[in-house]
Amino acid sequence: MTAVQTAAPAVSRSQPHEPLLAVDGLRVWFPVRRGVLRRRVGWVKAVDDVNFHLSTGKTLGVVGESGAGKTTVARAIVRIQPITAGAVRLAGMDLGALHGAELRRARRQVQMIFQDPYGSLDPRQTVGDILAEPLAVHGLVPRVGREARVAELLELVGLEPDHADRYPRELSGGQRQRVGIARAIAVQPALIVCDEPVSSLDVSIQAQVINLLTRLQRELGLSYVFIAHDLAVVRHIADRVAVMYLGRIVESGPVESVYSHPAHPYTVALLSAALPIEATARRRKRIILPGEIPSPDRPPTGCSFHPRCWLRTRLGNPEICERESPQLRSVAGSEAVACHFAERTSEFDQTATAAHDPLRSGPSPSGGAAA
Amino acid sequence: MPLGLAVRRAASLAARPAWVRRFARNRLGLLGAFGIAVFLAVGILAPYIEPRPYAEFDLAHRLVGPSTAHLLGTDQFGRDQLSRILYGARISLTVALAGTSIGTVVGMLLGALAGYIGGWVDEAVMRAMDIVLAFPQIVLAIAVAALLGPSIINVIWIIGLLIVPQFARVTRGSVIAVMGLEYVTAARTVGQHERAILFGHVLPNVLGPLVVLASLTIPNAIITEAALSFLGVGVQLPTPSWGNLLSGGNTFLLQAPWLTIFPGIAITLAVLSFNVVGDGLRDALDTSGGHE
Amino acid sequence: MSGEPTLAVSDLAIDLALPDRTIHAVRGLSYDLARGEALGIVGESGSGKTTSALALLGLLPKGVGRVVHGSMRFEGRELVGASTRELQSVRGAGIAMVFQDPLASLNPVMPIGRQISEALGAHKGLSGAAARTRTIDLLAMVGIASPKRRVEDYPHQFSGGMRQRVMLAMALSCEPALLVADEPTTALDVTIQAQILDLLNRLRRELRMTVLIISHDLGVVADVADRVAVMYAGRIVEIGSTNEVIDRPRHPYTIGLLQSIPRLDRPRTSELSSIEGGPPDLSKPLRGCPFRPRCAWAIQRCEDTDPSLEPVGGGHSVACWVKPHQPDAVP
Repeated sequence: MTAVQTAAPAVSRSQPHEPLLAVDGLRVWFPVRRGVLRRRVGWVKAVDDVNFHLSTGKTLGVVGESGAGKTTVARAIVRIQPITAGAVRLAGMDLGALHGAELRRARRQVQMIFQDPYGSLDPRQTVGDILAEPLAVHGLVPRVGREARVAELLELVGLEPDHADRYPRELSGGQRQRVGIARAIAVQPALIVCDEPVSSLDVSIQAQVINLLTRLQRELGLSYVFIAHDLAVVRHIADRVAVMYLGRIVESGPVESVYSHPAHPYTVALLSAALPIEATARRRKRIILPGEIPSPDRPPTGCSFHPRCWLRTRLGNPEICERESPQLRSVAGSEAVACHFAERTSEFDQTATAAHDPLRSGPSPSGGAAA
Repeated sequence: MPLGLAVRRAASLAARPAWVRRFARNRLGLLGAFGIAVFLAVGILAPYIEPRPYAEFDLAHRLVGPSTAHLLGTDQFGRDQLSRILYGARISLTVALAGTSIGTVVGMLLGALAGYIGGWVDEAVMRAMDIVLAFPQIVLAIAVAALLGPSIINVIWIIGLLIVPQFARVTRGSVIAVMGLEYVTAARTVGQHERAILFGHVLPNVLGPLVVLASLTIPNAIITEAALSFLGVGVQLPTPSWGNLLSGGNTFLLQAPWLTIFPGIAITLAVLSFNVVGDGLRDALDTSGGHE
Repeated sequence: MSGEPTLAVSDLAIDLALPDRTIHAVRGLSYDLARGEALGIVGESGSGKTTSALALLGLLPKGVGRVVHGSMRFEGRELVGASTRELQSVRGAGIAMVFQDPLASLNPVMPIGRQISEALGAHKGLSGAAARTRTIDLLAMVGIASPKRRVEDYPHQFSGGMRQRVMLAMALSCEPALLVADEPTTALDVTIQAQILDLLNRLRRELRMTVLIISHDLGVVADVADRVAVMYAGRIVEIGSTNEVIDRPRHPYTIGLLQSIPRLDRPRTSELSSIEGGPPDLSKPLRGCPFRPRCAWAIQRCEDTDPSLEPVGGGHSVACWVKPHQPDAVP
């Protein structure tokens, strides 16, 4: 254990004022091709102009539903998804400019934990092989020392050294996910992108894995980009959160502030839809968004959320929402929100946020929420 | 050598007796395996166990039915059928196994290239396969045999040729499917070299189903050889193969049915054995590591 | 409410026979479901909740799933051992089921209107124009916009949430006495889940349906059900009204579960309390309480004897020798 804890990380810690991860103007557009000659007739803008920074030792949560683009962002950061425009910089180094051996070396610094504990491990490899692979690829440990290092890694993630001889099919979902985590920390990265790491696990196992991730963050000085659709999990583990809808960030800021004073109507609706357990919260009214989540290849005009926006309905359907796409801006109390009427959200929001603020709890007033 | 790594990885399954145990539970599969073993033994030992040299004429005992001297009877030249069938096993199985091996390996390589590289390589390879598949198999076989001349070696090539497209397709499909799996993405994320991913992750996971397919292709190869030899464009007399034994017996079907029946039984049993083993392997290797 | 419960399950035991071992998936499940009531069954994987639901309609995998003993009485009729014909008459008009993955439950090559009309024809004897009208009404009832046009569409032309609405429409087409929903929103996005649950609650009120909702998500169950049953290792370990079980749990598993879920309504803690270990292997015989290896309150008796459900007042029952109170009880 001690050997790992004191080992130097792969990249030197960034300066306090310089973020570890800087994503600027990230765009991932997929061409839509028609016809025999496969002409490009349009674009699916899976990720459109995403910007965020992450400091060392911190966690950025990225939440959203299908089509939000959060998995695409994750894969773009780890460079397994080609980028159409923009830059991903790790400690100042532009990952997009690297190729071949340079890129492979850089991969030591940013790793990924995958959602599917069953699909992300090669069924033909033992756990020991799986963990030894990154060690071998980067020449971190000579062949003789690998077994010991693998045992160390297993211990770090709460598994037994003899798990090294087992095959993935012999392990439970939670155990497999731990192996995935061990694989990610094997190269001592500075940043780990976690793509829905607990979504496929049983509730009682989720807590174990979340605790493991927070503990490792503390012990190893890791930074996380944590992708999830479960708002409660993100709140627990993240310092800052970015809410995505149809390829864009619609709101971002410190997690407590976004959760208690959401400025974007979509954030309000998401929080409202997150089913609470506690009794008084269960009785409150919810915002039910109408319609379907639009498909990324046919986004609505103007603000992509406007067809489903309850705030817009309340405000009498102002035209600007349909015409013009709002830019991210800072609004009183809110760090960044992309809504033309962000100042008025709290005025009309009588629902979700009341739940966990003891000063505002209680059954809803007669106005109710848009259905 | 990377290919060796791939085979070793795939054979890691052999180190785990799980699939062997599973296969052993399949009675029919075991029976088939036994049958294959018998046929292989027969084929290898044919020159030593044949009661009479297969080409030896015995004009005194022409078209004699099964008897103590000639267990499976004789043909129109008095040649011992049992010896000819034993030797025929050697020929037919050699041809089938060799042809299948060539076809499998070439098909797998082409399919893996097509699937892994994609793009125009994929298109080119697959269209070439389509062209071969467009011809009815027997017609193609006869045409090629006519071009190259009938001989054992050529029959092996022809069988190989017929098998390549099927394996190329299946391999390509499997490679593409496996490449989309998350553990391949994970290997890339970890920084693994592309070549190591192909040989260390993709191929081992693709080989399993292909082995099963190969074992199910061998019976087809046996039948194809038999058909070609029957039609006269395969193995030429006096070298016996099960196919030309059948055609030879055709003329005497009513007088000496044993000339047709016994080679037919041999073909049937061999084909059944391989089929049954192939099925058993498929079931035993189905370790998708499923979760409930 | 009439005296007879709509569904009465008593000491149900189901085995799953796999090639190398037999799993005792359900080991003595008993509950009653009164008319008009909504009961939620909560459990994780391996708890037996889905297996027991499949057994209701005889949908256990053939040759693998087998009801070993116990009874399931629907409106007084015994379902265990019932013939296929008897089950046919119960399916649809008696018990209707909605599953997690609507794409797998809908025929991809048939327009959804026809699929619903088929059900109407089989159980209600409707055909032609009458069936079509009713189908359109049903689609409107479940909130599908432009139902007249959508009647001709194929399943793949609907999104996940829409498909689930279509499934509900199909399930409700025969006006079943009991609707069983097995993980109905698990595959859906959060905002769509809210829509579907809202729809379910509304339909339940309007049609006065009896509902059995099964989920691993406590939030989903709490939103729909009047009563909650928590399953672990093949049987119910706690059952009671939703408020009782969720706000005043008495079984260590329920308590652990509630404490391990990150909550939006509680302050952030540095560490989630989690339940150690994992569920027991149901292919092996169990001694004593199956939760004992993971239980912080276990006593000697827990190791020797498997506790049965005992009432603790207010319609709330718990299968535990200790029946602890939740440490930081919600005020």
